[in-house]
Amino acid sequence: MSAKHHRLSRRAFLKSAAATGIAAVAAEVHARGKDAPIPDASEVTDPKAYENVFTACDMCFNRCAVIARVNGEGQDRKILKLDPNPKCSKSRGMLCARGNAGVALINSPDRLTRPLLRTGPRGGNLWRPISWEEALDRTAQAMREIGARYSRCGMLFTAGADTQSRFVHRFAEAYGSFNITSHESLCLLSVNRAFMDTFGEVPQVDLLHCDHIVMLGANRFESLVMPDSADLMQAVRRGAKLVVLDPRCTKTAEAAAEWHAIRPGTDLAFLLALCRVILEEDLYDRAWIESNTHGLEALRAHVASCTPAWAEQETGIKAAHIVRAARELAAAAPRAVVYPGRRSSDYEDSTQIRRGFAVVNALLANFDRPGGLMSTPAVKLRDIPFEAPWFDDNPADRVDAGRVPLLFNDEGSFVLTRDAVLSGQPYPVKGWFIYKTNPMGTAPDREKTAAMMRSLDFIVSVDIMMSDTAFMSDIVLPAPCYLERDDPLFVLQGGPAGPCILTRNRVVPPPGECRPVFDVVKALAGKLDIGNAFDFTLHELRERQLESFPGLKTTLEEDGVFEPSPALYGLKKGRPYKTPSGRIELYSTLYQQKGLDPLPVYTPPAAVPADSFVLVAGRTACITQTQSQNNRLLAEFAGTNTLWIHPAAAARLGIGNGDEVTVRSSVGTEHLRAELTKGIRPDTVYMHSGFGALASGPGLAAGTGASIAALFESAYDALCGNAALHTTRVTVQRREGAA
Amino acid sequence: MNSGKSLPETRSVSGMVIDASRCIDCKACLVSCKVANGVPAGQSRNWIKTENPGLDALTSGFVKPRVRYQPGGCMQCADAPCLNACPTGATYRTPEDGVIHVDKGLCIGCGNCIQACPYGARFRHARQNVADKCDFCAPRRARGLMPACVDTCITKARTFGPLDAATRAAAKRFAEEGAPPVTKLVRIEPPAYETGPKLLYVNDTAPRNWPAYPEQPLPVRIMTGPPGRMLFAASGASLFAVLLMGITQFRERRMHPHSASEQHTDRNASGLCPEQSEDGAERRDSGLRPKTGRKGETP
Repeated sequence: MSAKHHRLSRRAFLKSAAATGIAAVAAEVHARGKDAPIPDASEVTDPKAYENVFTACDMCFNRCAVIARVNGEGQDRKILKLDPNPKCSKSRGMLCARGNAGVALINSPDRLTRPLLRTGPRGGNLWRPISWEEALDRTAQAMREIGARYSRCGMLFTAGADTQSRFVHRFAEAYGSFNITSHESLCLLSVNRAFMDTFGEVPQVDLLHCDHIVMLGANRFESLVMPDSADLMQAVRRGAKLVVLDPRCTKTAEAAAEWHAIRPGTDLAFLLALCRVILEEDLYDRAWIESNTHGLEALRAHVASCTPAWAEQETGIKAAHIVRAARELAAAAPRAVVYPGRRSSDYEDSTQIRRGFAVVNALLANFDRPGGLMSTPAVKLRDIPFEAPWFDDNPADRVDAGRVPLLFNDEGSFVLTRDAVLSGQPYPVKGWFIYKTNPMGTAPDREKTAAMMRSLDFIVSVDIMMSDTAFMSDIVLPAPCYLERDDPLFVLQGGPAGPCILTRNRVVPPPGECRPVFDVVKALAGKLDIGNAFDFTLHELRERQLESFPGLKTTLEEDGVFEPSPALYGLKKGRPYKTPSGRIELYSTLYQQKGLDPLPVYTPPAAVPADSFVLVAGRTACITQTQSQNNRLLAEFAGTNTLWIHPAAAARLGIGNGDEVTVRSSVGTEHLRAELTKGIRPDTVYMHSGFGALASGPGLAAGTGASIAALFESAYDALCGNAALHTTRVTVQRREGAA
Repeated sequence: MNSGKSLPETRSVSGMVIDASRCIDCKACLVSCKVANGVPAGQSRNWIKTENPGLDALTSGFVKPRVRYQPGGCMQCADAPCLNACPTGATYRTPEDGVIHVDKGLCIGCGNCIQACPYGARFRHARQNVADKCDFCAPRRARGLMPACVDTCITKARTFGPLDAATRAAAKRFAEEGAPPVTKLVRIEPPAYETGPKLLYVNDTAPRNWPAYPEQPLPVRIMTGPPGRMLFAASGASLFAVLLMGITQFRERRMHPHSASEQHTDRNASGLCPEQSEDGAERRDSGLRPKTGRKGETP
């Protein structure tokens, strides 16, 4: 069944479901009832009947410290409320909407509770519940066959942001595959690449003590990062100036002193102009720059032509504002930052764009100083070591190796891996082990991801709900959610809040037959004769980790968080930066050696045709990509997405507020309602991520809004292979005949 | 002071001091409240109001957006129209902290209080069919926890406690953070009616003019207007005494101490001068009387 003959659509899914009479099976799989009540914490008023369990949130990657208020015993044990743990400096004693909505995962009708075996075509929604023994035997058998036939690199392993993902990586290494990807090559690799190659590490940001923040390519008041989001508000209230550059008026822009609706993809022109003004007007700390950086004169020559007037032409921001922005930044330095950002899966030159961020910060002399960028203090937990075996018949490298010059070897690139799998070059990859990530909902060009999945011999997904990716799998294994399992200890870096160590303790029992992925890979390793990689229990690992610091165990028990309190500033004093030159590289020695632009070169974005728009995506504080889509508590505040479109553009197209519109890119077509707002540039349209699921169970998500994955094209960062989503151009039409 | 409408000493009146300029409309307080209080889907005890004056055309290239958010909920009014509107005494005030509650056992779900509230803070609970509203999370406070919205807030926009202590605590925290001092506490009130809200906004907030003049239900209007007074005059003293006895009994049944507001006083806050309230919000708390009409209420 080729992709051409099997274009994905919600209607096609539902039709095939109806035609084959799968409703009965689906009902059995999701037999837990649709209206399981959200707990009512006010029902229990007796303080004694109320137990507090420390854990950590998992509704996004932040892992804020949580106190679960629990009542009852055994199978009747229930979570009444999730509250912030005020002792955790990193999470600033808060819990966001998603963290509060974690209770809705418990008893959700969409939870997977039994191992499922696909019995119809891929994506046909025909399943047969099977025993764990059969599921594990089938998986081990498939992995053995693929390993024997295509080499062990014929298996691809993908694990999302999770404290147990490390076990999937360990399992992949023990099995013998180099092919491991994660969500990160659809998210933040470009910014990591750029800062690694400039500072030798990915810095934290000290917004708490910062006096001037320029934020572009980031939205900290909606896309929450802790402690940055809380600290940014404190800084703003203290009088720090926040300047936001964004094609749309985000809530961060609303709280800013200035919002500039920058032309998408032109951030580097703005940053280079900042450099020029700072250098030209001699607004930098010469002594600091000379002793800490490499390549100042080369940078000076490089930006000589990058005048504010030129940048105005590119960015649409008036030259006078650019000059003022540079002067104000420099005046506040070193307590001034150009915020590095997180998701940087936007343009093909995103690494170079983020290099521009890094270089301006270097000129502000803010590194390793209060109110600037922070070096990361080392906090290591003891571990149970493991030596990955070597297999002579394996190919030389990852399947996506060599396609871009600066691939992260341990992350790879999902977009490039997918190309390699589809082409079968340089070698065939025919199996996929997926844990708690949903490329069908987050990776660009959903059609292509589906085609990749159809080209595989075997796919196993471990997740808590039937994501669109699990839906396309052969075996689906039910996992406990974060409130239903013990986890290893983990370290979180908290910038000015300092690092902390947290863990998770099982708060309530999981539904049905759920098993944590640790148990899954341990059992599979046993069947595949690589059990030595997991010759320990999770409890034994935790005991080993607890030996890492004196007092760690008792503090975790008493406070739910351990903060080792190392020095946070001045870490680089007298120590070389981890770059080839040992200095902050304004001019990248590595790039020069590899024949790449050693200084960030501006590439103008492709012009937007008159009848088209740039499509950009983002989210609110109630959305974690597709992870939050089936949550009943969050659906009330983020139940669907709309297409933000400027009234002038809408008028031209005859589109009224609330009209249903059709959005077309070169790879997909989606429908959603238009939201007319001047908070978006006339040449750009915007939608929230995390909607437009195809068929994730009987839940809230299916059929609501539009999917960014269906529309975004598969461009990628030319240096590190990170997805480049915002290069996509779309047309928008009023949908005739729609209600 | 036995009407239940008057407030106890200012010192112990619970309230919330809110720095609305910190609100980023993240909805954490809304979700947290729903879980803490079992609020059904589609209903809410609290809200975030928005003032969006509209953005200028983007062609200017430089716009200072002025969208403002205002988190809120039941104002726990000093002069609470809902108290007058309730025919059964289900809506009552705990005298020790001034918080207004709904006794779900007494509520007949008539909806008078919902209509009477100028803030739209009350609703008919979809499952229980009785009036529901914010009570500063009385069950949580009984366990020594902060109200859910205060506890969970990302930017720590809310400070809760006895109003003067909460004001001092907020002022102290802002001083430590280097934020602008509390120069005044803003009340949001309907036109021509001083409700005496106990949700006070630091320095400034918007929108301001959204509350409606409290709409008293018809029976209450009749009873408190001239016909009512005539009726009272005509009715015998014995009937009056019976009524009075009934009311007294109701009141005694709902006098259970429901709150432990004292423990929420920020102990560190003492020693700091309370900020002067420009419009005298604090000073008026103890002796608040309505500006207009509403005779026949006070004994």
